[in-house]
Amino acid sequence: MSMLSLQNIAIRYNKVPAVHDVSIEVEAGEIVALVGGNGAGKSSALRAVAGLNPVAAGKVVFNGVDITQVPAHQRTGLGLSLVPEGRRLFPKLSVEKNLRLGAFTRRDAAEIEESLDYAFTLFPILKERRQQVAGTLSGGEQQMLAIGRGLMAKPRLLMLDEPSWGIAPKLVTKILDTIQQVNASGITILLVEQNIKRALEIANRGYVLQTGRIVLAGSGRDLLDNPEIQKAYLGI
Amino acid sequence: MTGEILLQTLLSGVLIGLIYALVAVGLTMIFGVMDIVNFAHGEFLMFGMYSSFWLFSLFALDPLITLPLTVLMLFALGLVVYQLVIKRIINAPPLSQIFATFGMMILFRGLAQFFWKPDFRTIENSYSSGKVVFAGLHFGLPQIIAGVGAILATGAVWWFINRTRLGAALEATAQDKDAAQLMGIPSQRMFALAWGIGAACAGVAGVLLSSFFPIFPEVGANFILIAFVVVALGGFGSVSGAFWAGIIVGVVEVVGGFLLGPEYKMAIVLSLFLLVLLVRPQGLMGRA
Ligand SMILES: Nc1ncnc2c1ncn2[C@@H]1O[C@H](COP(=O)(O)OP(=O)(O)OP(=O)(O)O)[C@@H](O)[C@H]1O
Ligand SMILES: [Mg+2]
Repeated sequence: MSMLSLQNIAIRYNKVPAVHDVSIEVEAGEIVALVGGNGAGKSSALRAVAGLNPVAAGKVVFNGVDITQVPAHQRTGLGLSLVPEGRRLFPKLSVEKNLRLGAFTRRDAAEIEESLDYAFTLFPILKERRQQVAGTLSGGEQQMLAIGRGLMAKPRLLMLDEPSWGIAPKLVTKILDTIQQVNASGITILLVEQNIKRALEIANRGYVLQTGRIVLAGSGRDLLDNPEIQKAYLGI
Repeated sequence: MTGEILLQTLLSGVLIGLIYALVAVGLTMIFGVMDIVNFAHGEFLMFGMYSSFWLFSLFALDPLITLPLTVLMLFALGLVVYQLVIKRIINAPPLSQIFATFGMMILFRGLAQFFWKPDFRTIENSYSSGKVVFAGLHFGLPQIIAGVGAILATGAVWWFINRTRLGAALEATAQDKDAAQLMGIPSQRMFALAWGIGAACAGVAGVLLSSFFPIFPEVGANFILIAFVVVALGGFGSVSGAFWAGIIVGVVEVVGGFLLGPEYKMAIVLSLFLLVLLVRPQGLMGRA
């Protein structure tokens, strides 16, 4: 049984279709990349898994449970966490408050402190900036905070929407390394990236989305070697 | 001597300003969390006053004694208003939202007139004519009690928002509703909570006013306009902003009225409002 399974989902915005008949499987322990150009429907798909977008057709199944009708705020507690596109931090709240809000669904104070320490170990800069308001962090720091906040829910599946957006190449490497590290600690990853090469390099498997449809799927390696992908996305 | 009078006036302005702040805190909270302007906010205050009045005249219980009960009733009223009315207009166009809360204002005033008559009522309790003399300055005891009460109530709201887990969730919802949902925070509950707290704040202000201010169905009108000015001045959605802005508006109103004549009070306050909108539309404390 897959950890996450999108079964023939369709998403519409005011009747205009954005995603058609998309099926995606994510197995426990994997890193799965969902790649594609602008407007392909990647964010829409992640938002549907998180419950922020209703699906017009199809099912979202998480750990064998159909969560299609479960409201967004109840999905977090089930073990899935989305680090959304554009980070969506709480800009007027401190770094620490942002992180603690990530653990809103959790009750055990000691475990929350452990997760906080874990986030600070992954991103030591956040510890230094713990009292600073999130809105004044640099772009890279904000992305680290967004990931840290996403991890505070102690998810089994962490979904990341363009974590490399707007940050320097060196930091992209650090962030992708951290994602691998998080995955090695047992958290399954569903990664959306425009930085297709880097994403497929760390992914076990990948799906290529184009105007709302899956056009290719396969192992990260196969997709990287695929001439169509090389031509369309990697400029080779 | 004039210095003394001016100081006296200044402090009277501060005292009434603290009440304005408390009324505005509720208004700014509802606006901050949902972007809805509650035109019926003055009526929550009116209900707080009548609650004090009836409990006093029927059971001879002092408004301060019955304050917890009034707070509970107003909190519940806020929840009911949210459930019955506001929930249906969350995604409606702004004009519908304005009509909805404006309609509630008219309804609540009408109900008060119908059930409680349009008469002016007053509460004559043990301290309503009490005086406090301090360093040669004279103050009414109920005004002092109201000022202190308003500070405590505003402080309590500030503490709740800034120091508790639920308060942080409310603030998070105000800043980014979708992101808050991703944290597992139920937006609808936070909206309801904002209405409950907002109504309770106005109710507390009504209770504090009830021992020195006349009680009548339209009394809310005296406060709602000023509360809008305070909310704008303090920066929409900011509790600490509303606190300082309330004091400023109270002082400007009372001192200005003293210097230029009481008939200009409202004109002075509204000029301040226009000035703020022109010069600092984000409010004194708000960020651009
Ligand atoms: N809230 C919305 N209202 C209307 N249309 C939307 C909305 N969000 C997305 N869309 C449309 O749905 C389609 C898919 O958008 P989506 O954001 O999912 O793409 P994406 O693959 O994440 O693109 P990008 O890489 O640019 O972030 C686009 O055509 C977009 O215009
Ligand atoms: Mg996107």
